[in-house]
Amino acid sequence: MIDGFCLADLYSAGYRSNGDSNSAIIMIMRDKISFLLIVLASLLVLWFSVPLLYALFRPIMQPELLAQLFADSRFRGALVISISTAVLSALLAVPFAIAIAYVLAFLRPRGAILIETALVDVPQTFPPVAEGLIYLVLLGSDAPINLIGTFAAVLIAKFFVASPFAIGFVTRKFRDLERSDIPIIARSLGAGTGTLLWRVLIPLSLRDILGGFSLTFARAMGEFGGTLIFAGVIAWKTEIIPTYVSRVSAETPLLALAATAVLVVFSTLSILTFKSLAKRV
Amino acid sequence: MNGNLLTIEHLTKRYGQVAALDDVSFAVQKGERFGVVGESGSGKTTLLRCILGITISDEGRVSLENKDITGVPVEHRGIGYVPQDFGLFPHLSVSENIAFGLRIQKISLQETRSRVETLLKAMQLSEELMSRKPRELSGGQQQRVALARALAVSPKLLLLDEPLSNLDEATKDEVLPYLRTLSDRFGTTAMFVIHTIQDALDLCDRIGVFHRGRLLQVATPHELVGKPTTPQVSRLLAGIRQNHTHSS
Repeated sequence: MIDGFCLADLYSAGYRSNGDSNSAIIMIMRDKISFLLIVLASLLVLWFSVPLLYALFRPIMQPELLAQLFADSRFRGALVISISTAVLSALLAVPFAIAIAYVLAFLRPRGAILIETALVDVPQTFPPVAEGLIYLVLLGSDAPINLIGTFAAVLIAKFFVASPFAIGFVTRKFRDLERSDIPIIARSLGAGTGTLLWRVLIPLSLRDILGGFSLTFARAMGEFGGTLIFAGVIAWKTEIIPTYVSRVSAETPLLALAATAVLVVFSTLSILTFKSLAKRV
Repeated sequence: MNGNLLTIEHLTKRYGQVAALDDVSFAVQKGERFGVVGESGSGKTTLLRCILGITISDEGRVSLENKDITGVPVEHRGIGYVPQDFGLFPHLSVSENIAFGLRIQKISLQETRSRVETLLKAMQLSEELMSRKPRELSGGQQQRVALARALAVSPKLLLLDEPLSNLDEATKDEVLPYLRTLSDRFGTTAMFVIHTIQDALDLCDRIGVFHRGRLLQVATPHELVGKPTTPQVSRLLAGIRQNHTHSS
Protein backbone atom coordinates (compact mmCIF):
# COMPACT_ATOMS: atom_id res chain seq x y z
CA MET A 1 0.00 0.00 0.00
CA ILE A 2 1.17 3.59 -0.67
CA ASP A 3 2.58 5.25 2.46
CA GLY A 4 0.21 8.17 2.55
CA PHE A 5 -2.83 5.92 2.49
CA CYS A 6 -1.94 4.00 5.67
CA LEU A 7 -2.17 7.06 7.87
CA ALA A 8 -3.49 5.24 10.92
CA ASP A 9 -0.45 2.96 10.98
CA LEU A 10 1.92 5.87 10.53
CA TYR A 11 0.30 7.91 13.28
CA SER A 12 0.54 5.05 15.73
CA ALA A 13 4.15 4.45 14.66
CA GLY A 14 4.81 8.14 15.38
CA TYR A 15 3.33 7.87 18.84
CA ARG A 16 5.24 4.70 19.57
CA SER A 17 8.61 5.84 18.34
CA ASN A 18 8.65 9.33 19.82
CA GLY A 19 6.37 9.11 22.76
CA ASP A 20 5.64 12.85 23.05
CA SER A 21 2.54 14.46 21.61
CA ASN A 22 4.36 17.31 19.80
CA SER A 23 6.27 15.04 17.45
CA ALA A 24 3.09 12.99 16.91
CA ILE A 25 1.27 16.16 15.79
CA ILE A 26 4.13 17.01 13.44
CA MET A 27 3.90 13.50 12.05
CA ILE A 28 0.13 13.79 11.55
CA MET A 29 0.54 17.20 9.91
CA ARG A 30 3.20 15.86 7.63
CA ASP A 31 1.00 12.95 6.58
CA LYS A 32 -2.02 15.19 6.16
CA ILE A 33 0.07 17.22 3.74
CA SER A 34 1.21 14.01 2.02
CA PHE A 35 -2.43 12.96 1.76
CA LEU A 36 -3.41 16.34 0.28
CA LEU A 37 -0.56 16.15 -2.22
CA ILE A 38 -1.62 12.66 -3.27
CA VAL A 39 -5.22 13.84 -3.74
CA LEU A 40 -4.07 16.81 -5.86
CA ALA A 41 -1.72 14.60 -7.89
CA SER A 42 -4.52 12.08 -8.50
CA LEU A 43 -6.86 14.86 -9.65
CA LEU A 44 -4.23 16.04 -12.12
CA VAL A 45 -3.71 12.51 -13.45
CA LEU A 46 -7.51 12.17 -13.91
CA TRP A 47 -7.72 15.61 -15.55
CA PHE A 48 -5.24 14.58 -18.26
CA SER A 49 -5.97 10.88 -18.58
CA VAL A 50 -9.79 10.99 -18.91
CA PRO A 51 -9.92 12.90 -22.24
CA LEU A 52 -6.88 11.02 -23.58
CA LEU A 53 -8.33 7.63 -22.66
CA TYR A 54 -11.72 8.65 -24.06
CA ALA A 55 -10.07 9.70 -27.36
CA LEU A 56 -8.23 6.38 -27.39
CA PHE A 57 -10.96 3.96 -26.38
CA ARG A 58 -14.00 5.44 -28.09
CA PRO A 59 -12.67 4.54 -31.59
CA ILE A 60 -11.47 1.15 -30.31
CA MET A 61 -15.04 0.42 -29.17
CA GLN A 62 -16.14 1.15 -32.76
CA PRO A 63 -13.55 -0.64 -34.96
CA GLU A 64 -15.50 0.31 -38.08
CA LEU A 65 -14.47 3.92 -37.38
CA LEU A 66 -10.79 3.01 -37.65
CA ALA A 67 -11.47 1.02 -40.82
CA GLN A 68 -13.28 4.03 -42.28
CA LEU A 69 -10.42 6.29 -41.26
CA PHE A 70 -7.70 4.21 -42.89
CA ALA A 71 -9.86 3.77 -46.00
CA ASP A 72 -9.76 7.54 -46.44
CA SER A 73 -6.85 8.42 -48.75
CA ARG A 74 -6.69 11.96 -47.33
CA PHE A 75 -6.16 10.56 -43.85
CA ARG A 76 -3.38 8.26 -45.07
CA GLY A 77 -1.79 11.25 -46.79
CA ALA A 78 -2.10 13.35 -43.61
CA LEU A 79 -0.49 10.54 -41.61
CA VAL A 80 2.44 10.28 -44.04
CA ILE A 81 2.98 14.06 -44.14
CA SER A 82 2.62 14.31 -40.35
CA ILE A 83 5.15 11.59 -39.59
CA SER A 84 7.67 12.57 -42.28
CA THR A 85 7.68 16.27 -41.33
CA ALA A 86 7.83 15.44 -37.61
CA VAL A 87 10.76 13.04 -38.10
CA LEU A 88 12.56 15.58 -40.31
CA SER A 89 11.93 18.38 -37.79
CA ALA A 90 13.41 16.25 -35.00
CA LEU A 91 16.36 15.13 -37.14
CA LEU A 92 17.11 18.72 -38.15
CA ALA A 93 16.70 19.97 -34.60
CA VAL A 94 19.43 17.71 -33.19
CA PRO A 95 22.50 19.11 -35.04
CA PHE A 96 21.25 22.68 -34.62
CA ALA A 97 20.61 22.02 -30.92
CA ILE A 98 24.14 20.65 -30.47
CA ALA A 99 25.62 23.69 -32.24
CA ILE A 100 23.68 26.28 -30.25
CA ALA A 101 24.20 24.35 -26.98
CA TYR A 102 27.98 24.39 -27.56
CA VAL A 103 27.97 28.11 -28.36
CA LEU A 104 25.82 29.01 -25.35
CA ALA A 105 27.51 26.71 -22.82
CA PHE A 106 31.16 26.86 -23.88
CA LEU A 107 31.67 30.11 -25.81
CA ARG A 108 29.23 32.03 -23.59
CA PRO A 109 28.61 34.98 -25.95
CA ARG A 110 27.29 38.29 -24.68
CA GLY A 111 23.51 38.07 -24.50
CA ALA A 112 23.52 34.29 -24.06
CA ILE A 113 20.46 34.49 -21.81
CA LEU A 114 18.61 36.57 -24.41
CA ILE A 115 19.55 34.12 -27.18
CA GLU A 116 18.43 31.12 -25.11
CA THR A 117 15.16 32.83 -24.19
CA ALA A 118 14.50 33.66 -27.85
CA LEU A 119 15.29 30.12 -29.01
CA VAL A 120 13.81 28.02 -26.21
CA ASP A 121 11.19 29.92 -24.25
CA VAL A 122 9.65 32.35 -26.75
CA PRO A 123 8.73 29.77 -29.46
CA GLN A 124 7.02 27.60 -26.83
CA THR A 125 4.86 30.49 -25.63
CA PHE A 126 4.36 32.10 -29.05
CA PRO A 127 0.86 31.71 -30.58
CA PRO A 128 1.38 29.22 -33.46
CA VAL A 129 -1.15 31.11 -35.59
CA ALA A 130 0.97 34.26 -35.28
CA GLU A 131 4.05 32.23 -36.21
CA GLY A 132 2.23 30.99 -39.34
CA LEU A 133 1.24 34.56 -40.15
CA ILE A 134 4.84 35.78 -39.88
CA TYR A 135 6.06 33.06 -42.27
CA LEU A 136 3.12 33.79 -44.57
CA VAL A 137 4.43 37.33 -45.03
CA LEU A 138 8.15 36.48 -44.80
CA LEU A 139 8.05 33.54 -47.23
CA GLY A 140 4.79 34.27 -49.02
CA SER A 141 3.70 35.41 -52.44
CA ASP A 142 5.27 38.88 -52.08
CA ALA A 143 8.61 37.52 -50.84
CA PRO A 144 11.58 36.48 -53.05
CA ILE A 145 10.94 32.85 -52.08
CA ASN A 146 7.31 31.70 -51.96
CA LEU A 147 6.83 28.57 -49.88
CA ILE A 148 3.08 28.83 -49.25
CA GLY A 149 1.34 25.50 -49.70
CA THR A 150 4.54 23.43 -49.83
CA PHE A 151 5.92 20.50 -47.84
CA ALA A 152 8.77 22.83 -46.78
CA ALA A 153 6.21 25.20 -45.24
CA VAL A 154 4.89 22.38 -43.03
CA LEU A 155 8.45 21.55 -42.00
CA ILE A 156 9.32 25.18 -41.21
CA ALA A 157 6.14 25.71 -39.17
CA LYS A 158 6.74 22.53 -37.19
CA PHE A 159 10.46 23.20 -36.65
CA PHE A 160 9.68 26.62 -35.14
CA VAL A 161 7.46 25.27 -32.37
CA ALA A 162 9.10 21.87 -31.83
CA SER A 163 12.89 22.40 -32.03
CA PRO A 164 13.06 24.38 -28.72
CA PHE A 165 12.59 21.07 -26.89
CA ALA A 166 15.79 19.63 -28.36
CA ILE A 167 17.64 22.95 -27.90
CA GLY A 168 16.59 23.18 -24.25
CA PHE A 169 17.53 19.58 -23.42
CA VAL A 170 20.97 19.66 -25.03
CA THR A 171 21.84 23.15 -23.76
CA ARG A 172 21.06 22.17 -20.16
CA LYS A 173 23.25 19.06 -20.45
CA PHE A 174 26.15 20.88 -22.15
CA ARG A 175 26.01 23.55 -19.43
CA ASP A 176 26.28 20.84 -16.74
CA LEU A 177 29.24 19.30 -18.56
CA GLU A 178 30.90 22.70 -18.98
CA ARG A 179 30.81 23.16 -15.21
CA SER A 180 32.63 19.83 -14.71
CA ASP A 181 36.35 19.20 -15.25
CA ILE A 182 35.69 16.74 -18.09
CA PRO A 183 36.02 19.16 -21.06
CA ILE A 184 39.22 20.66 -19.57
CA ILE A 185 40.74 17.20 -19.17
CA ALA A 186 39.84 16.27 -22.75
CA ARG A 187 41.49 19.48 -23.96
CA SER A 188 44.57 18.92 -21.80
CA LEU A 189 44.91 15.54 -23.54
CA GLY A 190 44.99 17.31 -26.90
CA ALA A 191 41.30 17.30 -27.89
CA GLY A 192 40.20 20.11 -30.21
CA THR A 193 36.57 21.16 -30.48
CA GLY A 194 35.67 18.35 -32.93
CA THR A 195 37.13 15.59 -30.75
CA LEU A 196 35.61 17.14 -27.63
CA LEU A 197 32.18 17.07 -29.30
CA TRP A 198 32.34 13.63 -30.93
CA ARG A 199 34.15 11.69 -28.25
CA VAL A 200 33.04 13.40 -25.06
CA LEU A 201 30.13 15.84 -25.16
CA ILE A 202 27.79 14.00 -27.56
CA PRO A 203 28.28 10.52 -26.03
CA LEU A 204 27.74 11.95 -22.56
CA SER A 205 24.62 13.79 -23.74
CA LEU A 206 23.00 10.90 -25.64
CA ARG A 207 20.11 10.59 -23.19
CA ASP A 208 19.35 14.28 -23.44
CA ILE A 209 19.71 14.27 -27.23
CA LEU A 210 17.29 11.33 -27.45
CA GLY A 211 14.94 13.02 -24.98
CA GLY A 212 15.04 16.24 -27.01
CA PHE A 213 14.53 14.29 -30.25
CA SER A 214 11.48 12.43 -28.96
CA LEU A 215 9.78 15.52 -27.53
CA THR A 216 10.54 17.51 -30.69
CA PHE A 217 8.96 14.69 -32.73
CA ALA A 218 5.90 14.50 -30.46
CA ARG A 219 5.39 18.29 -30.45
CA ALA A 220 5.82 18.42 -34.22
CA MET A 221 3.16 15.70 -34.63
CA GLY A 222 0.68 17.90 -32.76
CA GLU A 223 1.53 21.25 -34.43
CA PHE A 224 -1.54 22.88 -35.98
CA GLY A 225 -1.88 26.67 -36.15
CA GLY A 226 1.34 27.58 -37.93
CA THR A 227 0.92 24.82 -40.52
CA LEU A 228 -2.72 25.75 -41.17
CA ILE A 229 -1.92 29.41 -41.83
CA PHE A 230 1.41 29.04 -43.67
CA ALA A 231 1.11 25.69 -45.47
CA GLY A 232 -2.65 25.41 -45.88
CA VAL A 233 -4.55 22.15 -46.22
CA ILE A 234 -3.62 20.39 -49.46
CA ALA A 235 -4.15 16.63 -49.56
CA TRP A 236 -0.95 14.55 -49.78
CA LYS A 237 1.10 17.76 -49.68
CA THR A 238 0.45 19.89 -46.62
CA GLU A 239 -2.45 18.23 -44.86
CA ILE A 240 -1.41 16.81 -41.51
CA ILE A 241 -3.44 14.93 -38.91
CA PRO A 242 -4.35 18.00 -36.80
CA THR A 243 -5.61 19.90 -39.87
CA TYR A 244 -7.40 16.72 -41.04
CA VAL A 245 -9.08 16.50 -37.62
CA SER A 246 -10.07 20.15 -37.82
CA ARG A 247 -11.50 19.70 -41.35
CA VAL A 248 -13.61 16.60 -40.65
CA SER A 249 -14.65 17.41 -37.06
CA ALA A 250 -17.75 19.43 -37.99
CA GLU A 251 -19.36 16.73 -40.19
CA THR A 252 -17.94 13.52 -38.68
CA PRO A 253 -16.75 14.22 -35.15
CA LEU A 254 -16.22 10.54 -34.32
CA LEU A 255 -13.92 10.15 -37.34
CA ALA A 256 -11.98 13.17 -36.11
CA LEU A 257 -11.78 11.51 -32.69
CA ALA A 258 -10.41 8.33 -34.26
CA ALA A 259 -7.75 10.40 -36.10
CA THR A 260 -6.89 12.08 -32.79
CA ALA A 261 -6.49 8.62 -31.22
CA VAL A 262 -3.98 7.68 -33.93
CA LEU A 263 -2.07 10.90 -33.23
CA VAL A 264 -2.04 10.23 -29.47
CA VAL A 265 -0.85 6.65 -30.02
CA PHE A 266 2.00 7.75 -32.30
CA SER A 267 3.16 10.52 -30.00
CA THR A 268 2.95 8.39 -26.85
CA LEU A 269 4.67 5.42 -28.46
CA SER A 270 7.47 7.59 -29.82
CA ILE A 271 8.09 9.19 -26.42
CA LEU A 272 8.02 5.80 -24.65
CA THR A 273 10.36 4.25 -27.25
CA PHE A 274 12.91 7.03 -26.95
CA LYS A 275 12.64 7.02 -23.15
CA SER A 276 13.42 3.30 -23.08
CA LEU A 277 16.30 3.84 -25.55
CA ALA A 278 17.61 6.67 -23.40
CA LYS A 279 17.59 4.40 -20.34
CA ARG A 280 19.85 1.95 -22.16
CA VAL A 281 22.54 4.48 -23.14
CA MET B 1 67.57 19.62 -10.79
CA ASN B 2 67.95 20.56 -14.43
CA GLY B 3 66.87 24.20 -14.83
CA ASN B 4 63.43 25.78 -14.94
CA LEU B 5 60.55 24.05 -16.67
CA LEU B 6 57.76 26.44 -15.71
CA THR B 7 58.28 30.14 -15.16
CA ILE B 8 55.58 32.42 -13.83
CA GLU B 9 56.27 36.15 -14.15
CA HIS B 10 54.20 38.90 -12.54
CA LEU B 11 50.96 36.99 -13.00
CA THR B 12 47.92 39.05 -12.02
CA LYS B 13 44.25 38.20 -12.30
CA ARG B 14 41.46 40.36 -10.91
CA TYR B 15 37.77 39.64 -10.53
CA GLY B 16 36.28 43.11 -10.09
CA GLN B 17 38.11 44.74 -7.18
CA VAL B 18 39.47 41.44 -5.86
CA ALA B 19 42.91 40.29 -7.00
CA ALA B 20 42.75 36.48 -7.21
CA LEU B 21 46.44 36.59 -8.20
CA ASP B 22 48.55 39.61 -7.32
CA ASP B 23 51.90 39.94 -9.12
CA VAL B 24 52.93 36.31 -8.64
CA SER B 25 56.37 35.18 -9.83
CA PHE B 26 58.15 31.88 -9.27
CA ALA B 27 59.70 29.00 -11.21
CA VAL B 28 59.33 25.22 -11.09
CA GLN B 29 62.41 23.18 -11.92
CA LYS B 30 62.48 20.16 -14.21
CA GLY B 31 61.71 16.93 -12.38
CA GLU B 32 60.51 18.76 -9.29
CA ARG B 33 57.44 18.09 -7.16
CA PHE B 34 56.18 21.59 -6.44
CA GLY B 35 53.36 22.22 -3.99
CA VAL B 36 51.00 25.20 -4.11
CA VAL B 37 49.51 25.64 -0.67
CA GLY B 38 47.02 28.08 0.78
CA GLU B 39 43.64 28.46 2.37
CA SER B 40 40.41 28.78 0.37
CA GLY B 41 40.46 31.99 -1.64
CA SER B 42 44.26 32.19 -1.62
CA GLY B 43 44.45 32.08 -5.43
CA LYS B 44 45.61 28.44 -5.83
CA THR B 45 42.82 27.49 -8.22
CA THR B 46 43.18 30.66 -10.31
CA LEU B 47 46.90 29.96 -10.61
CA LEU B 48 46.22 26.39 -11.74
CA ARG B 49 43.65 27.61 -14.28
CA CYS B 50 46.10 30.22 -15.64
CA ILE B 51 48.86 27.61 -16.05
CA LEU B 52 46.44 25.17 -17.66
CA GLY B 53 45.14 27.88 -20.00
CA ILE B 54 41.48 27.93 -18.96
CA THR B 55 41.75 31.38 -17.39
CA ILE B 56 43.58 34.22 -19.13
CA SER B 57 45.52 36.44 -16.76
CA ASP B 58 45.19 40.25 -16.85
CA GLU B 59 48.94 40.75 -16.65
CA GLY B 60 52.09 38.65 -16.56
CA ARG B 61 53.48 35.67 -18.38
CA VAL B 62 53.46 31.86 -18.17
CA SER B 63 56.43 30.14 -19.86
CA LEU B 64 57.10 26.45 -20.35
CA GLU B 65 60.68 25.54 -21.30
CA ASN B 66 61.31 29.25 -21.89
CA LYS B 67 58.47 29.50 -24.42
CA ASP B 68 55.70 31.97 -23.66
CA ILE B 69 52.47 29.95 -23.51
CA THR B 70 50.26 32.67 -22.00
CA GLY B 71 47.99 32.78 -25.05
CA VAL B 72 48.36 29.14 -26.15
CA PRO B 73 45.13 27.07 -26.07
CA VAL B 74 44.85 24.27 -23.48
CA GLU B 75 45.13 21.48 -26.07
CA HIS B 76 48.48 22.75 -27.35
CA ARG B 77 50.21 23.40 -24.01
CA GLY B 78 51.45 19.88 -23.26
CA ILE B 79 50.31 20.19 -19.66
CA GLY B 80 48.52 17.24 -18.05
CA TYR B 81 45.77 17.68 -15.50
CA VAL B 82 44.33 15.45 -12.79
CA PRO B 83 41.44 17.14 -10.95
CA GLN B 84 40.27 16.50 -7.43
CA ASP B 85 37.45 14.15 -8.52
CA PHE B 86 39.80 12.46 -11.06
CA GLY B 87 37.47 13.43 -13.96
CA LEU B 88 37.50 10.04 -15.66
CA PHE B 89 35.27 9.89 -18.73
CA PRO B 90 32.32 7.88 -17.37
CA HIS B 91 31.24 6.51 -20.77
CA LEU B 92 34.68 5.04 -21.56
CA SER B 93 36.36 1.94 -20.13
CA VAL B 94 39.63 2.11 -18.19
CA SER B 95 41.73 1.31 -21.28
CA GLU B 96 39.74 3.78 -23.44
CA ASN B 97 40.28 6.46 -20.80
CA ILE B 98 44.04 5.86 -20.77
CA ALA B 99 44.19 5.68 -24.59
CA PHE B 100 42.13 8.87 -25.08
CA GLY B 101 45.07 11.21 -25.68
CA LEU B 102 47.02 8.60 -27.69
CA ARG B 103 44.12 8.21 -30.13
CA ILE B 104 44.09 11.99 -30.65
CA GLN B 105 47.81 11.83 -31.48
CA LYS B 106 46.90 9.13 -34.06
CA ILE B 107 49.30 6.62 -32.54
CA SER B 108 48.87 3.12 -34.01
CA LEU B 109 46.50 0.71 -32.26
CA GLN B 110 49.34 -1.70 -31.47
CA GLU B 111 51.50 1.03 -29.94
CA THR B 112 48.50 2.42 -28.03
CA ARG B 113 47.71 -1.02 -26.62
CA SER B 114 51.32 -1.54 -25.59
CA ARG B 115 51.50 1.87 -23.87
CA VAL B 116 48.20 1.28 -22.07
CA GLU B 117 49.48 -2.08 -20.78
CA THR B 118 52.77 -0.53 -19.65
CA LEU B 119 50.94 2.22 -17.76
CA LEU B 120 48.52 -0.24 -16.17
CA LYS B 121 51.49 -2.25 -14.93
CA ALA B 122 53.29 0.87 -13.69
CA MET B 123 50.20 1.86 -11.73
CA GLN B 124 49.74 -1.72 -10.51
CA LEU B 125 46.31 -1.97 -12.08
CA SER B 126 45.44 -5.50 -13.18
CA GLU B 127 44.60 -6.14 -16.83
CA GLU B 128 41.12 -7.35 -15.93
CA LEU B 129 40.25 -3.75 -15.01
CA MET B 130 40.85 -2.66 -18.61
CA SER B 131 37.27 -3.17 -19.74
CA ARG B 132 35.66 -1.80 -16.59
CA LYS B 133 33.90 1.56 -16.40
CA PRO B 134 35.23 4.15 -13.90
CA ARG B 135 32.19 3.74 -11.60
CA GLU B 136 33.24 0.11 -11.03
CA LEU B 137 36.61 1.15 -9.56
CA SER B 138 37.66 2.10 -6.04
CA GLY B 139 38.81 5.68 -5.30
CA GLY B 140 42.48 4.68 -5.33
CA GLN B 141 42.10 2.78 -8.60
CA GLN B 142 40.29 5.75 -10.17
CA GLN B 143 43.10 8.08 -9.22
CA ARG B 144 45.73 5.74 -10.65
CA VAL B 145 43.76 5.47 -13.90
CA ALA B 146 43.53 9.28 -14.01
CA LEU B 147 47.31 9.48 -13.49
CA ALA B 148 47.93 6.85 -16.19
CA ARG B 149 45.66 8.74 -18.61
CA ALA B 150 47.48 12.03 -18.01
CA LEU B 151 50.93 10.38 -18.24
CA ALA B 152 50.07 8.47 -21.45
CA VAL B 153 50.68 11.55 -23.59
CA SER B 154 53.99 12.33 -21.79
CA PRO B 155 53.14 15.84 -20.60
CA LYS B 156 56.00 18.17 -19.75
CA LEU B 157 54.18 19.27 -16.63
CA LEU B 158 51.47 17.50 -14.65
CA LEU B 159 49.03 19.55 -12.59
CA LEU B 160 47.25 17.74 -9.79
CA ASP B 161 44.44 19.52 -7.97
CA GLU B 162 44.03 18.34 -4.38
CA PRO B 163 45.21 14.81 -5.18
CA LEU B 164 44.82 13.56 -1.60
CA SER B 165 41.77 15.39 -0.31
CA ASN B 166 39.15 12.94 -1.64
CA LEU B 167 40.92 9.90 -0.25
CA ASP B 168 40.70 8.14 3.11
CA GLU B 169 43.91 7.41 5.02
CA ALA B 170 44.31 3.87 3.61
CA THR B 171 43.84 5.09 0.03
CA LYS B 172 46.23 7.99 0.66
CA ASP B 173 48.92 5.48 1.63
CA GLU B 174 48.08 3.51 -1.53
CA VAL B 175 48.43 6.53 -3.81
CA LEU B 176 51.32 8.47 -2.22
CA PRO B 177 54.10 6.21 -3.61
CA TYR B 178 52.85 6.81 -7.17
CA LEU B 179 52.76 10.57 -6.64
CA ARG B 180 56.23 10.62 -5.03
CA THR B 181 57.86 8.71 -7.90
CA LEU B 182 56.25 10.52 -10.84
CA SER B 183 59.48 12.25 -11.78
CA ASP B 184 61.79 9.23 -11.42
CA ARG B 185 59.54 6.78 -13.25
CA PHE B 186 57.93 8.99 -15.88
CA GLY B 187 60.30 11.97 -16.13
CA THR B 188 57.39 14.29 -15.36
CA THR B 189 57.50 17.50 -13.39
CA ALA B 190 54.51 17.72 -11.07
CA MET B 191 52.72 20.63 -9.50
CA PHE B 192 50.33 19.82 -6.67
CA VAL B 193 47.64 22.21 -5.53
CA ILE B 194 47.10 21.25 -1.91
CA HIS B 195 44.88 22.58 0.84
CA THR B 196 46.49 20.71 3.74
CA ILE B 197 50.02 21.81 4.58
CA GLN B 198 50.90 18.40 6.07
CA ASP B 199 50.16 16.68 2.73
CA ALA B 200 52.39 19.20 0.95
CA LEU B 201 55.23 18.63 3.43
CA ASP B 202 54.90 14.86 2.88
CA LEU B 203 54.87 15.06 -0.88
CA CYS B 204 56.73 18.04 -2.29
CA ASP B 205 60.35 19.05 -2.91
CA ARG B 206 59.43 22.73 -2.64
CA ILE B 207 56.31 24.53 -1.54
CA GLY B 208 54.87 27.92 -2.49
CA VAL B 209 52.53 29.37 0.14
CA PHE B 210 49.73 31.63 -1.13
CA HIS B 211 47.57 34.06 0.83
CA ARG B 212 44.89 36.30 -0.71
CA GLY B 213 46.38 36.05 -4.19
CA ARG B 214 49.95 36.75 -3.11
CA LEU B 215 52.87 34.34 -3.01
CA LEU B 216 54.31 34.68 0.48
CA GLN B 217 57.18 32.20 0.46
CA VAL B 218 58.76 29.49 -1.68
CA ALA B 219 60.88 27.01 0.27
CA THR B 220 61.69 23.36 0.87
CA PRO B 221 59.54 21.66 3.54
CA HIS B 222 62.48 21.82 5.96
CA GLU B 223 63.07 25.56 5.39
CA LEU B 224 59.37 26.30 5.58
CA VAL B 225 58.92 24.62 8.94
CA GLY B 226 62.21 26.09 10.26
CA LYS B 227 62.01 29.65 8.91
CA PRO B 228 58.54 30.89 7.99
CA THR B 229 59.01 34.43 6.66
CA THR B 230 55.57 35.89 7.39
CA PRO B 231 53.02 35.64 10.21
CA GLN B 232 50.52 34.07 7.76
CA VAL B 233 52.93 31.24 6.93
CA SER B 234 53.65 30.77 10.65
CA ARG B 235 49.91 30.56 11.33
CA LEU B 236 49.45 28.00 8.55
CA LEU B 237 52.28 25.95 10.02
CA ALA B 238 51.29 26.38 13.66
CA GLY B 239 49.76 22.94 14.14
CA ILE B 240 52.54 21.24 12.19
CA ARG B 241 55.35 22.93 14.13
CA GLN B 242 53.69 22.00 17.41
CA ASN B 243 53.60 18.36 16.32
CA HIS B 244 57.16 18.67 15.06
CA THR B 245 58.31 20.06 18.48
CA HIS B 246 56.42 17.36 20.36
CA SER B 247 57.86 14.58 18.21
CA SER B 248 61.40 15.95 18.53
